[in-house]
Amino acid sequence: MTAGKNNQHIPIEDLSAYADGETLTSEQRSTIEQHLAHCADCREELAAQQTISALLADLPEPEVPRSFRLTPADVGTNPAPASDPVEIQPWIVRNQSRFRWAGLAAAVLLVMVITADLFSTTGSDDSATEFTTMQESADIEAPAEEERADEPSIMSTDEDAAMDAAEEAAPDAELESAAPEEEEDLPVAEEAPESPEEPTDQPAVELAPDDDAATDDADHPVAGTAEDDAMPGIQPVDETDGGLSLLQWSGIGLALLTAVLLVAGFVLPRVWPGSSQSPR
Amino acid sequence: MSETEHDRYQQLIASARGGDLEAFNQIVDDFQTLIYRICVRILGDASLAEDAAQDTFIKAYGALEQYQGGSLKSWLARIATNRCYDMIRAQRRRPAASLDAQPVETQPEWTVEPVSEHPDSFASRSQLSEYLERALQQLSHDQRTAVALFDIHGYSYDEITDITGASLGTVKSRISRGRLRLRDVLQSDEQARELYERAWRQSDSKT
Repeated sequence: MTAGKNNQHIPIEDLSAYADGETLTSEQRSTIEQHLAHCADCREELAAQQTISALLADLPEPEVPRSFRLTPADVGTNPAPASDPVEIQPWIVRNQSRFRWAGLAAAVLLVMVITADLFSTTGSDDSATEFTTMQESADIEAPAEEERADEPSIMSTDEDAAMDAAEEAAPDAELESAAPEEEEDLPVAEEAPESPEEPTDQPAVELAPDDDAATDDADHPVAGTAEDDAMPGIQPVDETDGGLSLLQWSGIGLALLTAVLLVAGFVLPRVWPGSSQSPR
Repeated sequence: MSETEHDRYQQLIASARGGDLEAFNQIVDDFQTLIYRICVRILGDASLAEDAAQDTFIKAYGALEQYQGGSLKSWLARIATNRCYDMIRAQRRRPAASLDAQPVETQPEWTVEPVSEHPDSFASRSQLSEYLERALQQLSHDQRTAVALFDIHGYSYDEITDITGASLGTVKSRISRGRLRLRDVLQSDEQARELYERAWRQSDSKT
């Protein structure tokens, strides 16, 4: 740090500090000056420091290419932040693509279920044993399907008999895959179930007698009870011939789920107050 | 910075903390040239420097609560320097985009010095400036930053320790050795050496 004695050169750091008039005690300063008086090398080094310094100070400097003033967008604040919509809107918009994909997946499953059901109805009606098996498994899994209670069916058909093993597997798989989607489904559930409900009320009631007539030979011939209790109750529908197969109930649930997800994915983000078209 | 100027900035910062963007933009108006130039010197690239300068002010606005009331000029320079170093590190990780994409030192319109001296002296001066610009690019980032902050932007040694986080001894060493290296680079080119020695004699005769 200190400049050396007369015969020692001054460290370059001290020379530059001296040239710059920086951070040296008056004692250091006078030592340097004494040394410089008779050391040409150090004088030259000092002159080099001063020359470069002066040249640098003379360098032409660029002008700013534009103003760097901040806009409200730069700092991410709106002049009047509205708390409520800001909180809800991004949730819908943020999950828009998830809803879309989930909705499309549910739609694909729905088509598969409908196809499976069509095959089962056009198949033979006489395989009563398989029907029984199916019916039992449906009863076992019945509590899991909560929507059953209040949702009548579009796809009510006359009988469920020809259900083969492959088709039986379908509703199970589909129930499992539908389960996680239900979680996403919950927060928007209020505004969604519009379309599928109303048109299904009448067919379910009207079709009931036909079902009974067509399937006299089935396990549960208590058609009258089923008809009478169809409106208020749930269990009779399950247990009678007029009831729907697990596959069909799955189809109904899936149709509702599809509708909810598609609405949440495609319609809501667009009509949400103040929301922008594109997510994020 | 004079007392009244300091007070004025404290008031502007107080308003900006309260969400007054216009108050902050008055600070931007005052410092944007300095900050942009610091970024140009560290990065050596005009368009990167533009990004760095803009980022600096955005970051400064977001960090107003952390401003302790010291030198605003040093505080902004510290943010700018850190931002530039981040960009340099990012460039090193992605060597595809080169740092010298837009060399700033070759833009002739900067040479706006008054031609009061002999025309010959002016010509050689601007020529020497070009050599010096190129020589600056040969310094390490740390040396160039320290030298530029002191010789070009007028910060003191203490302020540079504050800005770069280096010790005083390190700052002194970077400045002195950076200048020595500049001289050596200039002297390694015959024409530059001649121009430098002419300037050297001039500065020698002045002192």
